[in-house]
Amino acid sequence: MEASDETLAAAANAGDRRALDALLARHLDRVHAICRRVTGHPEDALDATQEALIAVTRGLHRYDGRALFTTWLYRVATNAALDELRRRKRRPEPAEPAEDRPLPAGSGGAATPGPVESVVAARLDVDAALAGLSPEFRAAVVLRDLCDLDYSEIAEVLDVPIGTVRSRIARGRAAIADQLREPNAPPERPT
Amino acid sequence: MTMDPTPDHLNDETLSALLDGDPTAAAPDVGAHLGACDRCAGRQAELAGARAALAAAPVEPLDELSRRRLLAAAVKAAPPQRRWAQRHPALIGSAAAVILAVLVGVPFVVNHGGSSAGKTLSAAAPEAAGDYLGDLGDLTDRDQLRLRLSGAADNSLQRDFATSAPGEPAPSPAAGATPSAAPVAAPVPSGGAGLAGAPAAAPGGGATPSTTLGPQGRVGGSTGAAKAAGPAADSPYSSSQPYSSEQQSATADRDRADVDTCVAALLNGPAKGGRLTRSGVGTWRGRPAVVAAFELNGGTVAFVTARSGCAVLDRFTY
Repeated sequence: MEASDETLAAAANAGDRRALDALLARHLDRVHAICRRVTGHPEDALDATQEALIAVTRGLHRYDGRALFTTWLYRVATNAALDELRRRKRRPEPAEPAEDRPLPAGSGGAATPGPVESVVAARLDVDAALAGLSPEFRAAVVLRDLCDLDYSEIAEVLDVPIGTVRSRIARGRAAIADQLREPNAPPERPT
Repeated sequence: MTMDPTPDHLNDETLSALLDGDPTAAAPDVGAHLGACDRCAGRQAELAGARAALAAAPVEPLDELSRRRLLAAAVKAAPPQRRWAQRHPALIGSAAAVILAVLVGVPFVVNHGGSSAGKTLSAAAPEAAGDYLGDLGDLTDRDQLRLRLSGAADNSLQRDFATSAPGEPAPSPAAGATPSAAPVAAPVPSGGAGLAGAPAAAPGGGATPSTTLGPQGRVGGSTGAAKAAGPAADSPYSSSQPYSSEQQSATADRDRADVDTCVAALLNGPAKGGRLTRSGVGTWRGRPAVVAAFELNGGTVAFVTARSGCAVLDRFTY
């Protein structure tokens, strides 16, 4: 039977390197996915993933086992991704607050939405849609729809009220929905 | 609020929260509106599509080289493995206190005799660490296990008292009279953590099967010279077992490592807040298992867990 995350974390905390290696390997892809979606850039994502794994390794003694290990891990990964964005600033963020910015055009600009089954097109569309959001909004959507955390867990990870989580997720989904909408579809939105 | 400034339609936040099952968005009028309004239902379908797109859109997978590099760098960044003593300074202090108490208290007991003196000595013993009982055999029968967890501990204390080397903690026989309250002398943690890569357990500090409680079962205070005397001197097992001393030592280390891992997991889970009193290894319905007893919430609770993964197989009080 496979050891639980919490068991591996306890063993790793006690100095078991094999447990630490197994724990990190188990969650590497998810940590990388969070970093990739939040940073929006492959190289930044790699750097953020590295920082996140090191932060987990060095901070594991602070994990007290009260929450799920994954909740703690996602918090570390999200913070690493946000820190990476702040540090690098390779791509300037939109100057105005996200709430005041127009959503991406329904046509998705130059990108023509491909068929649903086109994973490459979907990836580009999602990246493009997420790029229009501030990193904190991106993080909320990623934690909900990629990591399947509930609102209270996301609030804990991002250290914001649940109402803010709800608002950020709605905003992020609206941006993606408009980005992915068929070019000729009427831009209907409740107003 | 759940409505837009245009009161006829629901806003994105409400529609999005409904998708996530957020109860604060699920007011009766909202559901009624959504069922009757094609516009809002269509918008909710768009938001659901966005959610599905993000969940399904793949992230470029890491290549194997990147995976290895990332993991290696992270593991390398781990703090150097601290020695057992550094990880448990409180226990070291307690053990030192025991040694000091014995050095001071033994002459007192010898000179004054009497059980009351023994109780005074045992009261000074630390209670931070449990007594490791070694291989307890079949852990399936609760009644037998209760007896072993209680009786074996008493025997262990008697044995330790009889075989302790000079200058080593010598638990009073009186200390084992009431298992739930009996302070158990903390074993000197010479690698007792049994963790991978940690120093090997000191000779005599390893597993002590309750079925081999002879003079050869455990030699308190074994030294290198004692170890050199052969397996019978330092082996935690019966001398009839066809193991070399190295094999026995490795087996004992693995036993202790599994016990330590599962004890840590229990203390982070169902035994949180408890104090380990006794532990051992064995089999539960044929499965390799660990047993650990904790003083918890005013009683003593024993957990039997799988050795691999530490899933709780049985739990009872005694």
